[in-house]
Amino acid sequence: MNELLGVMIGVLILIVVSFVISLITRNFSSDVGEIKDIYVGKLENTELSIQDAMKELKLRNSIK
Amino acid sequence: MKEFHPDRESYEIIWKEVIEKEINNFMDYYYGYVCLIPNAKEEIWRKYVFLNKHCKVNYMVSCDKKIDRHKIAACYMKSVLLVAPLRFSKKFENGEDALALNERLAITVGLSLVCAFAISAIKKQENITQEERQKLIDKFDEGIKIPSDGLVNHGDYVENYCKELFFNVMEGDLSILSLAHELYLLEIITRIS
Repeated sequence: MNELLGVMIGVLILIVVSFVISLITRNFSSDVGEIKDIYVGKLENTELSIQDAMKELKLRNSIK
Repeated sequence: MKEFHPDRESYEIIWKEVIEKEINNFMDYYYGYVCLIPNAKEEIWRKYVFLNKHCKVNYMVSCDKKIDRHKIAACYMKSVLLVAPLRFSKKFENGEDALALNERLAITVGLSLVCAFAISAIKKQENITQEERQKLIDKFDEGIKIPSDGLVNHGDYVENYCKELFFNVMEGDLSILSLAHELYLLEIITRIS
């Protein structure tokens, strides 16, 4: 009877510990995710006109 | 007038003024040994549209707005490299086929585009004198300054650049942003040289 009680308490402790670890890990992951979003961000767009640039286009740095 | 991007009209000019002319140069230079794949013009455009969209959606703040000149040039370079429009039609007699045709073509396309964009931007630049403006335009009109002599430690710069592009394509690791960054640095070298 005592042995069974011991096993049950052991299992209970394992479940609680696993639950706490999963919570910590999840929180940590979301922190990393947030840091990544803040750190990386995205690149700025531009207002340049490719059609204007095409007026200046000619073959340069050719093999000839 | 509002421009639609990717702009097919601009591609027609890029094809006619740069890609087709350089392809013809290769075909004249290696007459009988080099050929063009069928439908190369449309293949390059299709790949460019895909890469342009990928760039806008994944890297840019707004996927509805434009990307800068170095990224446009990088997308064209990458589309040329992936399509690889030039192929060998037969082997050289001496057995050497190690010519980076498509890599060299991609570099010419990228550098020609950077020059055109740079000249266009310099013409609109307000905080410089007319003399400075003309000096800068003349620099870019001669093409992008390629590092040489004391600035290159081993080998020829363009050859090394071709090899870098070749290995990156082989490993499926050709980054638009890295290509754009290289073009940016080459533009800066030309500007300050």
